[in-house]
Amino acid sequence: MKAFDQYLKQIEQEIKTKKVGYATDEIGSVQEVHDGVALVAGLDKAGFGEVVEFESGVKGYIIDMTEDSVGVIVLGDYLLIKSGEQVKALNYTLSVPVGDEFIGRSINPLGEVIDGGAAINAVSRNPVEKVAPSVVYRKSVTVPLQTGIKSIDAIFPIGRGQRELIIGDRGTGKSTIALDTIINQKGQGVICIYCGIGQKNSKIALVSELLRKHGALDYSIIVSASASDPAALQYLAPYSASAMAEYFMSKGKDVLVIYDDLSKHAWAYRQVSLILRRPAGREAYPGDIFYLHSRLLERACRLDPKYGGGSITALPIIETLEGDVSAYIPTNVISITDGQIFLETDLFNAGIRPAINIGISVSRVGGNAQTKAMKQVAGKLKLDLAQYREMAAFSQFESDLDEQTKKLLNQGAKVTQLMKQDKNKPYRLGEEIIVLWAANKGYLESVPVTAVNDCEAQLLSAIRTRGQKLCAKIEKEKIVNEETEAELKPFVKDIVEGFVTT
Amino acid sequence: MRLDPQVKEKLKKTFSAELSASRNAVRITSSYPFSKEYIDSILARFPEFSGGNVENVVDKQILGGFIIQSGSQMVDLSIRSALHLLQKKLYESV
Ligand SMILES: Nc1ncnc2c1ncn2[C@@H]1O[C@H](COP(=O)(O)OP(=O)(O)O)[C@@H](O)[C@H]1O
Ligand SMILES: [Mg+2]
Repeated sequence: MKAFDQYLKQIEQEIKTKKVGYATDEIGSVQEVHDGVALVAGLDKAGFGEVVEFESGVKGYIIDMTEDSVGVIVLGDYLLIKSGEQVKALNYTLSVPVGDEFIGRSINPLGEVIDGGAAINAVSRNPVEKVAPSVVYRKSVTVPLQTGIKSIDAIFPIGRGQRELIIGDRGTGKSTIALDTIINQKGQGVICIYCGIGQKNSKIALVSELLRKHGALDYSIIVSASASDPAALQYLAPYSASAMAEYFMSKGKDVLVIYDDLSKHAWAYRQVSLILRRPAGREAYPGDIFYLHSRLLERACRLDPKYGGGSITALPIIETLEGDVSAYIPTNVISITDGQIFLETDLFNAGIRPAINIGISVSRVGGNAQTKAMKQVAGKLKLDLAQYREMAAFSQFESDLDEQTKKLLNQGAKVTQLMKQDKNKPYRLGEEIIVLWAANKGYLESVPVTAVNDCEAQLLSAIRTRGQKLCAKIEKEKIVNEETEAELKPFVKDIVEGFVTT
Repeated sequence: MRLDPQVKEKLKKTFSAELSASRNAVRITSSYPFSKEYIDSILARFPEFSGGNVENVVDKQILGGFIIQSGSQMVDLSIRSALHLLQKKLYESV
């Protein structure tokens, strides 16, 4: 074996002359593993948010540091991790792949596809945790984000860069409002990200199917950590979705992000915190639970054009129990957002859908973004509904009421009917304005309450056929001027007359 | 627990001395035993690991080279980890 000996000699020669560089690693060893969270001793010099690698190849990232151990969220299969296993700090903070390649796809919070399609090899990455842009970079909200839901666009308008909370009990139509808003962004140049947290996989599949059916997947991304994923991954999901949104915002695009829902996100964080043995506070949530959502929602903003323009509009969803908005998480999130759309089971069951409680819902900044035409028609609408709410209590004594009050009640009842809208049927801006204009001008006065919805349906189909030009005109001019009104009058009258009973 | 303060103080001192010794202890893992001189010549090149008690552990599993470790700091220059790295690179490229 002369050749072999020579070979060894050659290697020895090479090793002798070669300079070997080395790096000092920061290491620790696994003490405990629970549901996606590992407690690791050592790692003395590792930092918060730093990524670590387990001997088995699984990665994780540090979310908790105590005197002599750190808490690590395991990104991947935590069942592979054994107690005593070595853990190495990798010297960088967690980032996720981002990019245009993800549009139309469903991914988990780590950017791995979950829709059964081909894997995505993204070139760019964005940090999961990022400090929100400071005031200097921001611009106030002035561009509307049309939801296509007439009651919201008229009464609680949302602007690009706003954070509007959707809150209500289970099954009150929260997700539906969010998804309809995504569907309505077709052709509006808005990238939509739907972030599912702790939802059933079957629900996510339905969401994906709904968006596909309406052609909305062409501009949407679904990020999901489902109920069957570890709590740690669910905790990560909204930050990961936010990192994706920031990619598009940095390209000057307007982005809409839905967090469905942050109650389950808070539960996931509570679970992680309890595993880490952090002291539990109110409702067993850890002390920094407020910061959990404030730092997430602060990342929604509208950038000044000097810094690239672009915006992130956030529609977080909170699920309440029996309408209790004074629970810990609801009050926290209400205080962080720019308003809330409050949905009620009673209204939903009474057939008023979307089941928005007009009295306690509010949008604080979107008004500045509302188009002039919408402002023209929305003002009276708000008044009608407000007066109706005040008077409704008296409606039981109808016979004793004076004409004026009766008229108000009558108009209020009809406008309430008019505010109903079926799911997945967003209106164009022009359509919303014509319908509301008709109500404003008193065309519903002689239409019976029970016929309001049929009347509206016919008006709508007329707009979508004969009225297309008129609709486009309003959208273009963004105002209802005299000329338009002159055209609208015969158009609306023609349809309404068919419903008048004498 | 009730302790004589003097005894307690002494215990505390011993304990923290033990602790700092174990913190500073340097462990060199190699695939065959290293001589004292050899270890010293290695440590001379790693100033961050000097100053503690040195312990030489033999582990055939690392194949060759050595690993120096102290507290949570580690320098891994073993053949095993080099092969692991190679394996990872190979799989990554496909
Ligand atoms: N405007 C609406 N018109 C008709 N049905 C609706 C409307 N909004 C919601 N729904 C139906 O109500 C149910 C619950 O809605 P969902 O959005 O899933 O509620 P949540 O997210 O609040 O639990 C769904 O079956 C949905 O189709
Ligand atoms: Mg829902």
